[in-house]
Amino acid sequence: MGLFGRQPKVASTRLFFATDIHGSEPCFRKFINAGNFYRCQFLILGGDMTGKQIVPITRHSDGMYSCRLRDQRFESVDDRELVEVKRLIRVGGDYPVVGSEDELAELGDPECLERRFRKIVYDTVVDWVTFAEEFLSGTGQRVFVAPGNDDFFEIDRALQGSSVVEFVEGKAVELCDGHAMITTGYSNPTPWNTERELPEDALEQRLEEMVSHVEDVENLVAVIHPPPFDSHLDYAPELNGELRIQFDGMGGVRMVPVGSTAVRRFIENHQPLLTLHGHVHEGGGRVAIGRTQCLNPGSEYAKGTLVGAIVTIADGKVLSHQFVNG
Amino acid sequence: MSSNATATRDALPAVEQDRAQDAPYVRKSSGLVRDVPFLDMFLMNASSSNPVGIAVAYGIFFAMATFPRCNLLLAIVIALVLGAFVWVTFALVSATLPRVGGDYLYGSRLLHPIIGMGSNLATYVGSVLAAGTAAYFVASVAVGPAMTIIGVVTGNKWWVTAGTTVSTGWPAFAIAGGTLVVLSLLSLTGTKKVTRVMVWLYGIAFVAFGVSILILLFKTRAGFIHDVNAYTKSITGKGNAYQATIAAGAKGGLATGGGYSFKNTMGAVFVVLGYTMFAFWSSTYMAGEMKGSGRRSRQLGAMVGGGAFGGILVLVSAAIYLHTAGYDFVAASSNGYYPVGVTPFLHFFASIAAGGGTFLAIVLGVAFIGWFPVALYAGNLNMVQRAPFAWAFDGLIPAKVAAVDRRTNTPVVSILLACGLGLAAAAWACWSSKSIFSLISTFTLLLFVPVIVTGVAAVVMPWFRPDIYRASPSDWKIAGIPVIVVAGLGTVAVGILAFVLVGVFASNLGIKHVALTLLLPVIGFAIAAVYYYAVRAVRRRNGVELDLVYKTIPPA
Repeated sequence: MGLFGRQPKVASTRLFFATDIHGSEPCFRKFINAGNFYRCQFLILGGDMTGKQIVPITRHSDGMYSCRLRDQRFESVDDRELVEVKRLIRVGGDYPVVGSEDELAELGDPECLERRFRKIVYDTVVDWVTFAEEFLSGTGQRVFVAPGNDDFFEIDRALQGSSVVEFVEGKAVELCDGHAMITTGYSNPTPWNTERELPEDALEQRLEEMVSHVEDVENLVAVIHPPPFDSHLDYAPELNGELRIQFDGMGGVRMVPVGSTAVRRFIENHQPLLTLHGHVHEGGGRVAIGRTQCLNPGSEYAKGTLVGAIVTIADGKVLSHQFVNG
Repeated sequence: MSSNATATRDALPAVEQDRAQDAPYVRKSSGLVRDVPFLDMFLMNASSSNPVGIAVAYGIFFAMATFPRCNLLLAIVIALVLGAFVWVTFALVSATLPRVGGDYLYGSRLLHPIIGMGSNLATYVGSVLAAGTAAYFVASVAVGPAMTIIGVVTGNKWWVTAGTTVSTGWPAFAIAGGTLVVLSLLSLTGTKKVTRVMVWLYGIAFVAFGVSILILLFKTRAGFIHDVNAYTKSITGKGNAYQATIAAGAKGGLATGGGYSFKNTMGAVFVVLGYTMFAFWSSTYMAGEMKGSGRRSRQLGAMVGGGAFGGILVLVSAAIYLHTAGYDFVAASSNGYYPVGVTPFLHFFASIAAGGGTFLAIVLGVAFIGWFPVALYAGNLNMVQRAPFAWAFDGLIPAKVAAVDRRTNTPVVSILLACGLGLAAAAWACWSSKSIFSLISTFTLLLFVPVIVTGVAAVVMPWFRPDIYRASPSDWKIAGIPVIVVAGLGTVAVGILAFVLVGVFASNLGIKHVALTLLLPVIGFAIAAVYYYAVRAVRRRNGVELDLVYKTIPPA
């Protein structure tokens, strides 16, 4: 709808979509509160919900703690202050791990680090699901979640079987009257070779399999983690073989499309009503591919800011969309 | 299959330099890149928006012409110290809110949407006027004098006449407009091409400027006087041009040989600030991708260090120029008493000091032109082209204004709008060339509005948005005092000082409507308020609550 259009008075569905919160606890808590705050019946978390870094906190023999969190160095931290330090670590999506110097030394072993990561990520997701159940139980709000390419397979177990959180990876579900929804967090290959990546043809097959269960594709909402290729929702800094950003000079970072060709073909062929994407944090925006409205709200999880999109759909149309960050 | 997009590229940083690939305790996950080499960041910030050659050549000319007996070197030092507050503030705030949008983002998210809009309106209008003026300068300060230099050194009067002709009126507008149109067309073809052209122009101009300064560095005052007299004699037939220029200046009212005026030095501070302080500008608007959530030390080193490096370069270059050419001679020539009209003189005098070679004079004169498209595009036009991204993303303007062409990845409407407004500003500059200092002062003053707003945002951030502050590199205390608060207070003081200086020195700067000029920001904020509430009402009709964009959602 244009800036000056008037929204028709029809029964509509208002949904809130956020993605790529990467372990940020305030972002998750804000997401859980988004239904109340933005008055949305449906909350959709589009993938990459887990963090990327462990922050070791050293427990010293005198009972005090110390750690380094990016620019900040925390020294002589007591038990009371430790709570705040842990909170700060979780704001940026990192995981605090407390131990003596000897205990933390084992994190230097890549296998041990991997084990600790998988356990702490799983435990955190279990805590989050429990929290969501306590907060949203009885509100009538529906919460849909699918992992993203960065998320370990282990978390699927933590997300399944909840009474409030609906695990929708690889599924076609009824979103609301007349609108089905398909969801996947798998992405096309990345330079980081992450957990859930598929070659383009396999990704296309996965999408085709899901859409084969949908009767009314014109009213379909598709939550697909990677944005369509060369859609402007997928422009990211170009990297060289050493994963260094490439520049054009005068402060200009060289941007290249990194989205999925399979997702683009899927949208062009099926023309669903709405597609919701994430994956490329700097690709926030809206694009129309034919009749399909494609949205990527982007992500600012590192500061604990929840970026999302409020979308109103009804009668086979996207009545409005609004990007918010709070 | 057609597609159109809004507010897309550069909007948010995914690259995570604080969780770099080579950092310990990270797992295999997307978005982790290696640190950008510090030197790259430093050079980009140092080079991207500080046209040193213009700051030295035209800045000195401007200051000397408007503030007689100012102590220019002291003014530069004061401006550098004041600028440091601003650089630190913008480095910290932009690291905290690392998205394209600049002062609009800081004002709207940390204070109030109307303040963000009003501030950005001042930035937008100021940058449009600056772009138009820079385009006019391509004709009047770059191409015109270069043609005059060619005519003088080759003895061809046609070039001298042409140099004067192209500096005003329709010919000047043709050059200014042509430059704007060419840069806009280049912008339409993609950022890569226009950036490449800027890099080449900057490189050529910088090398030529360096050669000019080195020539002056290795020249004694006596040698310079001898060369100027000998060379000017070959043109005018009179052999004492150096002394005659100073004498003419004294006769025309310029005090010579005495001490400095502190009052006028403070006036010159305003001029110097306008040329040196805004080194952070493109770092805020253009290099959004670089800010990321990187480490504070790197951010400060790159932004503050880059700004300071440019400022110190201006200081050293100005000191060399004044030491070799002599204050009284520079002042008198800046006020039009040197018999050859090749404003702003520096590179012309350098070529004379090198022996008066025709080839060198032409090369330095032509290379000097390179500064102006850089100042026009990197310093101003680029911001005007990009500002609508943030407005459209928040739903304040129709999405089509910021729509990006799929093939070239450029915002076509926004670029054309910037070009049109730039042409209007260039026309204003071309036909009001007699009051050009007034125009420069007005847009410089407007550009202090976002400085004040960002300063206020920095001061209140720890209390208004503790959630953002505590999780950001801005949470930095020295001796228990939050650095961002001190830097923010200093920045607000710098902004207020600029308004005071314009009020006090209005007549020097050629400003006739002092009250109106000083009230321009207030008018801007009033327009922003009316526009914001009108758009909010309209958007509510189509189911969008604009207020939600600026509200922080409380965690459950």
